[in-house]
Amino acid sequence: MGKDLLKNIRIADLTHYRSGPSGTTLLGGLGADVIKVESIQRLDGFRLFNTLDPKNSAFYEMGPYFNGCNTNKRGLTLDLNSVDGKARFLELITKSDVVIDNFSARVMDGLDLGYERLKAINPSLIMVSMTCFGQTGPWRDYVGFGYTFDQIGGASAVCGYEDSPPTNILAASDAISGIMAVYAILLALEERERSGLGQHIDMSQVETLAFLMGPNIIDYQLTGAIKPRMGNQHPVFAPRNAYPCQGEDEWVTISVESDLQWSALAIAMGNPEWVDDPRYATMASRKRNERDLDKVIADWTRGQQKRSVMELVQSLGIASAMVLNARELLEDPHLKDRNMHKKLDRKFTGEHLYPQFPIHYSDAICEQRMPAPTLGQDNEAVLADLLGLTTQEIEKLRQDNVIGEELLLGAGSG
Amino acid sequence: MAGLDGLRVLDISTGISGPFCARLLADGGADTIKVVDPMGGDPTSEEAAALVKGGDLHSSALHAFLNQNKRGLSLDIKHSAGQAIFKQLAAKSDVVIESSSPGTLDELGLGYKDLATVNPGIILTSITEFGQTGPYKHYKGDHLAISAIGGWAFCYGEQDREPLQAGIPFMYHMAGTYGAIGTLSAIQGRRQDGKGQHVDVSAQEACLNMLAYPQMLAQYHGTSLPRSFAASMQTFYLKAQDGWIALNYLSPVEWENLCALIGAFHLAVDPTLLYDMEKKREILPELMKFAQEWAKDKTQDEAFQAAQELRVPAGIPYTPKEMLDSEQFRSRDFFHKTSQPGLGTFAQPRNPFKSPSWRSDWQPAPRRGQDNDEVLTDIGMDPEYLRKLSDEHVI
Repeated sequence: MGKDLLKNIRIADLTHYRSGPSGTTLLGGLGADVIKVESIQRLDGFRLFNTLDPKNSAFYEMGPYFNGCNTNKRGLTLDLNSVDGKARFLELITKSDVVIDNFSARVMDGLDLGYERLKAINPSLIMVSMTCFGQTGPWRDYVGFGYTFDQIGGASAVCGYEDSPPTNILAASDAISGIMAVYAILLALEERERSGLGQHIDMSQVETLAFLMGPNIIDYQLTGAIKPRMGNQHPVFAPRNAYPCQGEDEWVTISVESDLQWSALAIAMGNPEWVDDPRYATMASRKRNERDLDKVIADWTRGQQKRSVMELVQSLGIASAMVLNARELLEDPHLKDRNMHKKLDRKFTGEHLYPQFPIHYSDAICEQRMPAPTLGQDNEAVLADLLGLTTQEIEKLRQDNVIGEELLLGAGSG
Repeated sequence: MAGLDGLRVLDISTGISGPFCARLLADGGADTIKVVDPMGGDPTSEEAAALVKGGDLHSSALHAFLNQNKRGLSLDIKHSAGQAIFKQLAAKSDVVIESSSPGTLDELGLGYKDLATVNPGIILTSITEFGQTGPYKHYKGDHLAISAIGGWAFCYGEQDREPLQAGIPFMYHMAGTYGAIGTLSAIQGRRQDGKGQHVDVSAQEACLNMLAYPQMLAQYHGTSLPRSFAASMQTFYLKAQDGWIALNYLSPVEWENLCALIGAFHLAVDPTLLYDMEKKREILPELMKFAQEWAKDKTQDEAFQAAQELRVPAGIPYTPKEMLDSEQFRSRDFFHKTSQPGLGTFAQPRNPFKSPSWRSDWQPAPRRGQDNDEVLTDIGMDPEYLRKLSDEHVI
């Protein structure tokens, strides 16, 4: 228990798919009022991914990914292409601290909802635009999503096995730009405390990832060398890899970072002669004979439980960890002890465990508070209680398809 | 004026997560003092320095990247005089960032309770491998171990080979960013009652939050995607004349455009292909044949431009060289020229997003203890006493 750190902060959230929503869910977890804006004409496309039942008329309420990254938000529908929808959106902006979108750069201006217009009605508004390439530059209007960011942001080229082509990295850049947007908002809120003014944050998701490549970019200029793909290996330390264990697709990692650690491991493996073996005795010789080492360590781990190996190797003061799959994450005793999954009950899909956030406060709440909203779930509450519309006005919006609670047939997704 | 002007941060962390967190705050304008052991320094910088030929502690790319815009103080917080000084500093600071094994600061008399006694508003942000509590809290971790036990490695790699970490320490960047979020949100909360708190960030759990929801898939469908670089089959790496090019798609329209781009119109006609993994796997060789044929006589840039013209979200797996040469990055001043003493002059990324709240007065990473006098006389310490401390290697 503790404080709601972001109480009284309201976020108008236009983001869809993963990069924006994975950040705004955390803001909601910290107590901000996050209002997710979709429309019955254009759903968040993430709703359709891996839906439980594609033939169900409510298939868009059954997506595990959407439901995973849209917790802690209220749900509002507004057709932003309609005059009435725009008007209600602008009213929402007057009552919001932050508006965030991850459209292509031209979309908000195209809707006549660009920063200048929003700022005119709310000068303290913080707007975060999470585009692919930024608000400016020759590629401003080019398209992309997580994989594109992974590639142009510089990660794909250095990620993968040493003998594999470049790889995408599970669209990790979505997760990174999602939380970097949260940092951007908190930074802008601090500034607003003193100046009273808002700002427009121009986030290119390609750049957010490229920023993390800083050390590689500096290294390249100093040495002229492009870092290769290295699998699990370290440029200096060896051995360092994931090793097979008893069972199907079971693995444990071991990373040796000093001669002392190597001695302890060699003895624990029952091969004390390897401590002084010239092939393995020094970091440099271990690095040279890394492939052989990987084989002998794999021979040692193969017949053992991954947990036993981890516990033994950790007891020697050496970094080692089990490779956990999704089921095991849900059951891992350490993660359980830290309450890292929380049960939420959602309409259409029922009870599931949802991953919690990696920030634990001694005096604040940071947790999954409520399941992802069904489409338009909070239309009444937002339009009546927050914007002061009458029942008749709301009904009119519904008749005109400006709002609604079900997908408009024949419509697509965003 | 920068967003965090007036905030003071003491960064006693080592590794990547903590210093990365502190750098985000320093870039935001916080007066950030990097505190290192007078004799030991920061082992991560040293490890990285070993990679740069002829480098010393201060001439590593990682040090230059992680510690820019910080001031440098050397202080032995294992020494009682050092602990007293640290408390005096904490009394005049807002935030302490640390990454030591849980319990270490308590043993030094510098735990959250000790710091809160001299400064009830202090925010102590601990960023560690496994967090402050739980059965693994004292386990040793590295990026590979964290990627394994945080659920990433199982998904990343190929099914018939070993699971992989990512080739850059993303889990630590994530943990550091969560640390910065935890810190600034605690600053927001401090306005309610003037009280700070202890913020506990775990890299394992940051990794958990980096995953594309495999736990949700496992519960909803009882399945998991096979370990594969392209489990979703939404990205295709092709060999162009001068390197790799990738075609990606997300929406049905982009799939149609992609098929049209490579002249495989016959693959675009069946929209169920998109949602049927089995069917998709069957047509993959056919698709790759057309795609590779299309790409082979083009340069990376020609292929990229042609794809984007048809609104296919293509990408090039850029190396640092290509990033530095990119017109798009250049037109946005993404790289700026910097000088790091001991290392040289080079361009580096400016900030992860554009905002008027970043500091405008850039500073290179500090040498060990470079600002001792300034920092310590600021809190009223006598120059004579400072000399004595220096002689005893406390500073």
